Amino acid sequence: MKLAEFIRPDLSIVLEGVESRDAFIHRVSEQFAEAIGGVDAEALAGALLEREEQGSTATPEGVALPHAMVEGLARTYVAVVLVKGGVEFRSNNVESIDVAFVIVGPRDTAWEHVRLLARIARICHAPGALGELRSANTADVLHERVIAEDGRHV
Amino acid sequence: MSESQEPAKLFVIILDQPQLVDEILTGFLDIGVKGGTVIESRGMGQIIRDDMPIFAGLADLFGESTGNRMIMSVMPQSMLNPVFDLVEEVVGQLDAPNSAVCFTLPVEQFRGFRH
Repeated sequence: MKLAEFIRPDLSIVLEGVESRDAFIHRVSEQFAEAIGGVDAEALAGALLEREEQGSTATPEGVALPHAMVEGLARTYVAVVLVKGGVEFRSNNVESIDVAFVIVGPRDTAWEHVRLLARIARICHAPGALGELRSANTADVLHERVIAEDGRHV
Repeated sequence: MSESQEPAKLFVIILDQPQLVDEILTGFLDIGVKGGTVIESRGMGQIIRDDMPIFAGLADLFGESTGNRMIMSVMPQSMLNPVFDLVEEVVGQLDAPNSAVCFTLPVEQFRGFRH
């Protein structure tokens, strides 16, 4: 499953000065709602935080994978987010994250979420991939690089 | 033609690097393979080296192995090429020693839950 089908330039986001996990989720949710329409930012933030409360999606590589299925969407979208300076993500095992892939889709797309999580895991485990994403200075460069890394895999 | 009407195949991977199982299964999910079975297995060479002292003097013929994993999954024919490509991406060149072998078999009949 190619990630390129789900990521758009306006869902490639570089953030700075993010104080907390909840602030991160709210900022990304607002950008999501503005970019794709059809979804309420507060409702989306609530769904993403509810999932995080079940167990942090932060990984030891410093990557978070917040995901939620919500009403009002016709298809699934993925945002790639770079957090300059990182942000603590309320995980017992992970100090902070600085890269996140946020997956948001309709309620009946659970398997699509599983496939996307697998795709993102493959991308993040490839040697050098996270370094490429972390060294992006703008949203456009981040978008170009995540598409390039996606293209390296079957 | 829907997925269920496609001819089904059994894809078998015998993986000489057990530590790569996670990557293969992650790739399965990415490609859309929803189920499979993983078996801890031993190759003939390993059994001959370790358990059959009569061949001890010729053990070098059989390459060292730390055991392998057999991964089996029934899937529609259209998924075969992506899965072959995935195995090569994860394992590398399949004609190298201690990498993996993979092959397919036709599935003539199938009963049971299918994802």
